[in-house]
Amino acid sequence: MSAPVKFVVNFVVIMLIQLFLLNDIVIKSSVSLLGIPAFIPLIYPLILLLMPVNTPSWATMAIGFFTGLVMDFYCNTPGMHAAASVLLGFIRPSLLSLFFQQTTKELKSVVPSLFKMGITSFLIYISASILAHHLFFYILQIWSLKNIPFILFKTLLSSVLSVILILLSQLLFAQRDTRRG
Amino acid sequence: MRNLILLIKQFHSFFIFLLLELVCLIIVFKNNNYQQSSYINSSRNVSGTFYSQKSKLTGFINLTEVNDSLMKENAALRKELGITMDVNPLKDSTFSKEIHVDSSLQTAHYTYIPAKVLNNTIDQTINYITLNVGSKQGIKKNMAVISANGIVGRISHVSENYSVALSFLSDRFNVSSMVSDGTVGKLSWDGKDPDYGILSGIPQSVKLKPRDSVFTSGFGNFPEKILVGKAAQVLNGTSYKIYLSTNFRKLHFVYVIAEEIDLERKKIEDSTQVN
Repeated sequence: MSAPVKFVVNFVVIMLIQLFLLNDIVIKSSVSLLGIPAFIPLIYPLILLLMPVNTPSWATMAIGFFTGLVMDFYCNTPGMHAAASVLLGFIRPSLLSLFFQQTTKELKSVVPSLFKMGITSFLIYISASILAHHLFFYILQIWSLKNIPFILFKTLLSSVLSVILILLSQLLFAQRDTRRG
Repeated sequence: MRNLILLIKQFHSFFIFLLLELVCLIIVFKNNNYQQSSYINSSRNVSGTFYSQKSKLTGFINLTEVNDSLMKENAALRKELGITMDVNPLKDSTFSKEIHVDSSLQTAHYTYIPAKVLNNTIDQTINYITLNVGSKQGIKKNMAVISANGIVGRISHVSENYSVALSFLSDRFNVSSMVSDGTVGKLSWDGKDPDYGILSGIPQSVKLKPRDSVFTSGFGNFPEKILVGKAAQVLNGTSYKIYLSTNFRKLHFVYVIAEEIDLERKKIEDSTQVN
């Protein structure tokens, strides 16, 4: 598949999973878990995280803006998902350069994945991006100094679940390729 | 000038980042005050259609639950009207007359518009509920939304076929409520547990016991005497934790109250607010 087609397929599939299943996951679980605040996993940042390594940062930021805005339309959170995704698009190239020894030009259109990067690097890459994205999102959403522990707690809960789901999705769908990037 | 261009070239991604982030933050903070209507909401036709398709696809999962709740509501309404099994209100003319007199006194100016919940969230600090009714069905901004069990919220955005209601589970959503002896307090949500609300402003002389019922007072958007919840726990002398009677996790059908008289009152009240 060519890169644009792959991107569109990724976008549609991930968005459908996010909106159909994950947004409802709290509503469907009808018991409150020992006073733990209601939270949902957000896996849509995966759209940005799985773009080819050589994508310029202006493109990831623009796509992040668009993706976030789509989420905002469906979740009634004007601007919040968009702001968090733009931040993710901005920090992504510097995060990637930590884990790939070659320069991004040599790598061309390698897609970061569990099997290319190895479990440790991939886990750190995903966790760092998801934490940054979720933290910024919940800061914007809750927006109160009084509730800083609550913001951190909710970020942690949501991030852990998101990272687990992303790892599972990689195990299921990522191309198994033993060559290390 | 040349230096400036070089600077922009070198840090172009940072400048794009700042620009996009600025746009986002303007959208966020312009709509932080939820009385302003945001353009970005799920009553838009695209998102509304998506949610109604989704509800068609996944609606059957909850059918048993929905049936049960409707049966319960029917039973409660029958009990209220005093209909026993051996009386058929459709055939017995004297009986229907009796109801007619009663209802003209009680609910003369309330029209209930039934609506289906297409989407609902409980995990955000300001939660919204997307409904499958819009301006075509006579929905207007600020109308109260209730469920069979209690209060739900009020309409905040309306499009032709869909509307979005601000859920009671929202920061700064206050409901004027009263306890059984008529003391009025303020019910709000603390942003954490979707099963509990906080009732504050009850004088220390009034002691609520656990499981005491709390109703709406009729001073706000909601009509009088709608059950809100039951007292669960004393927080301090003047505030109580209230177990909400509406289960926001299982919200399938709601009623929008089209209340002609009070919409006029609401208009006057809104015009006095500064923001």
